[in-house]
Parts: sequence; structure tokens; C-alpha cells
Amino acid sequence: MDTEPTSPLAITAPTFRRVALAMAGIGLGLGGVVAWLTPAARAAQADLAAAEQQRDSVRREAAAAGDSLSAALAAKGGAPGDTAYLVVSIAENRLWLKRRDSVLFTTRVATGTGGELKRVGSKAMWKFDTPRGRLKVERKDENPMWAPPDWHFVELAKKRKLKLVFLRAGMTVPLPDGSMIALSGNDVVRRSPNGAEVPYDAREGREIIVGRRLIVPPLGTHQRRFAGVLGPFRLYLGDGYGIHGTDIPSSIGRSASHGCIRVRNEDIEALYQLVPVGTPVFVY
Amino acid sequence: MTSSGRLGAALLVILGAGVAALGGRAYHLGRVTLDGRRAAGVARASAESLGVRVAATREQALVARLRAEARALPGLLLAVALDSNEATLFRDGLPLRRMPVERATGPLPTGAPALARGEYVVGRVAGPKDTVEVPTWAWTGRGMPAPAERRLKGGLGPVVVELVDGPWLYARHPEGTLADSAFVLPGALRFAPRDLQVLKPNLQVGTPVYIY
Repeated sequence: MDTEPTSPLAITAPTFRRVALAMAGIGLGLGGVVAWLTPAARAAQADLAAAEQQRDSVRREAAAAGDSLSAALAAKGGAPGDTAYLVVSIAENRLWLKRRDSVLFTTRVATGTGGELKRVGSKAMWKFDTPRGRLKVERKDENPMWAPPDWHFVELAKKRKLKLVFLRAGMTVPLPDGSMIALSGNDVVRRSPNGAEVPYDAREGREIIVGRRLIVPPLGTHQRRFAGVLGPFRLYLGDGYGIHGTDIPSSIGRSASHGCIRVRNEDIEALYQLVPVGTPVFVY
Repeated sequence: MTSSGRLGAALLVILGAGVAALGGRAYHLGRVTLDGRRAAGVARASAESLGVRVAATREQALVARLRAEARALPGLLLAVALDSNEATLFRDGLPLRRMPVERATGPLPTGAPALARGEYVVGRVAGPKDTVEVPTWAWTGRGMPAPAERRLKGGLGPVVVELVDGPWLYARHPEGTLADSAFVLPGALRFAPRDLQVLKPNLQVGTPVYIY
């Protein structure tokens, strides 16, 4: 029988059907996988985009936070200046001379008692507080004289039950021996009947007392300038306050002053050397 | 080859090419999905790690800002550094007095506020005769029942400084509600009694207090 030679590519109908069905099956299967993967791939891409967006946003926040940290670190006030300053604690009666965080000098002091004094028959009242806050050394005094304020005489009169007599220009106070107390220039004098005048030698503890009367010399007179009371030096803080030495060293370490800051005489000598005019003084 | 055989072969080739294309597309999509998910995970982890660092940097920036402000602000203020447990009384940016402080550690009892960094002002300075409402966690924090009446005279000691919307500054007690030296009131700062006595006349209503 003569048969047509079979080509290798020639496919018989049953084989073709089987192969075509198999390939269609594979194709459908793959089509299904593609159809299933397409939304998943889209979701993955969207997820990635969102995650990248989040990362970028956090990066921007990190940059902003870093900037604000740099700004905060660069802000003024990182470290105190080089200026030395005095600190006084009223509660502890202590003084420090500091620079930055170093203590250059420290000692005990006496500060205000916090007490009050009222002048009988007057509205005048004093409170003996050391002022809290920021002061400064306005000037430095050597051998400062103390011009006692009125409260010194009011306090003494109260303590010794004396009557106060505030001496004024043109006023005289007669004495039992016929002489009188009067003002002559910048002195309080004892004027004899013959006109001779002898200036009084007044100082702390030796005020002018006649009988039960305490004579208060006017401000500016030599009899209202007491030497030695404030020690050898004073750092004047303004408004009548100062850091000074004392003639009562036993008062140091206590709340004993009328508002000034007292230190021992050897300490005020050291402070006078160490502290320049303009130094800030912080009292708390 | 017959014409039907050639047509069959051509169809098979076309079908084969289609299947191959679908297979390639499926492979590509599979890679895209996997890579996309992996990359998203990496990006998210990176964002989280950056987020942690941002939070830390923000905290650092807050501390640095408060510290700088405390030194730059004129006048009197109290600054408390939580990292070193130290309070400093400043005037015009200069340190006048440094004081140790203590704060509670560990989990907070119910209702107790966390000690938050920030700028506060003094709202009240109470003395031993002033009535203070002692918080419940002063007792519950130690496993004790809180009494019904918690408004006590000197309840938080002889000196207590209340900050507006902020913590209490109080001192160790020799006796009374908080006489337990091992217990620091959560949400409060505990000072040495002497330090708080020294601070008392200096802290007025409105005095700034920086906690950083």
C-alpha cells in the first residue's frame, strides 16, 4: 500500500485535539494566575508607595526635629558668662563669690533680722529685711563712716526708755549747768554761757544723752558719723544697703543686722580685693 | 504535510506563544508582588526606626530648648533637670543654688499623672497651716486605702509648692501622710526640707519653673 510519508510536524487530529486542549488548559490556568496576581501586584505597589511616603514624611519630621534641636542647642544661655558674681542666702546667712559654677570664696554673714520698729507717736516704721533680688556693687569704700539712720536712735530710745530730741538748726537744748547743746557749723557743740563751744565726741555706744533725752544730731554733722562700725571696707549696694565688716563679730552667721550684709573684717578685706565695682549681687 | 497538519502546527505555535507570554507575565507579576511587599516592609521598618529617632530627637530638642530658656530668661526661676535629678535656682541666667531632687520611679499608680517636661508657673505656696488635698495615690501607691477625707492641713508637709497644671514640689516629712522616706509621691518632685524652706520666700505665684 502506498502511503503518504508522515511529516514530523504533521499532527493527526486526535493528537492535535489533545495538545490543543492541554495548552488551552495551561493558558487558562496561567491566565487565572495573572488575573489573580494583577490586583495583588497593584496592592503591593500601592503599599510600597504608601510606605515610602510614610518614610519620606518621617524623614522630613526628623530633619525638622534635628533643626529645632540645633536651634535649641544654639540658643543663648548655654553657659553662664565669665563675670564673677556674689550670691547671698538669707536663710543660711552665707555668701558666695562665684564664677560660672565655681565658688571662688564663701563665708558666713549676718543678714536682716526681719524685725519691725515703729516710732512712738509717729507713722514712721522700719522693717529690717535684707532685700532679695539683684543688686550690684555701686562703689567700694575704705574706712567707711556710718551715718546712723533715724531708726538707730528710735531703737536706742526704745531700749533705754529715752525721749528723742531731733536737733535742728537754730535749736538749743539747755543743760543743768547753764550751758546748752547747739549746732555750730557741722558740729553739735556744748556752748558755755561765755560762748565757748566744745564739739561732742559721739559714736556708737556714746550717743548724746542728756538726762532722759537722747539728742539726735542732724545728718551731715560729725556727731552723726560713726567710725569703725562698718569695719575697714564696704561694698556699697545702693539704697543704704551694703556688704561691710563689723564691730560685733559674734553677730556673724545670724539674722542680726538691720538689712545690710555683715561679714567679718578679714572677709571684707578679701572681698574688697576680689570684687570689682559693677559686680552683680544676687540675694535670695 | 497536509494543509490541516500545517494549520494545526501553526495553531499549536500560537497557543504555545500565548501560554509562554502568560507564564512570563505571571512570573513578572509574582516578582513585583513579592518585591513590592518586601520593599514596603523595609520602608515601613525604616520609617518606624526613624520615628523612634524623631521622638528621641524631639525630646532632646525640648530639653535643650527648656534648658536654654531657663538660662536666658531674666529674673528668678527654678529649673529642674530630670536627667540629673537636680534643681537650680537661677536669676538672670546665673545659678544661685543647686539642690538634689527625687522623683518616683516605676509604674504609676492609678490616677497619678506622669511627670512631664515643660514650662510651668507657681500657682500656690502652701505652709503647714494651709489645707492641701492630698491625692489618692499618696496611699494607693503604697498599697493602702485612701481615706475619705483627703483635705489635710499641711497634708504634703510644712512647705508645698503647687505648679499650675503641673507637679507638686514638696519635701520629705518627719511625720504625717508622706513620712515614708522610701516613697516619693508619683507626679511630684521631692526636695530636701531645708532646700524647700530656703526656696519658699523666693517662690511667688507666677514664678517660672522649668522642668526638663
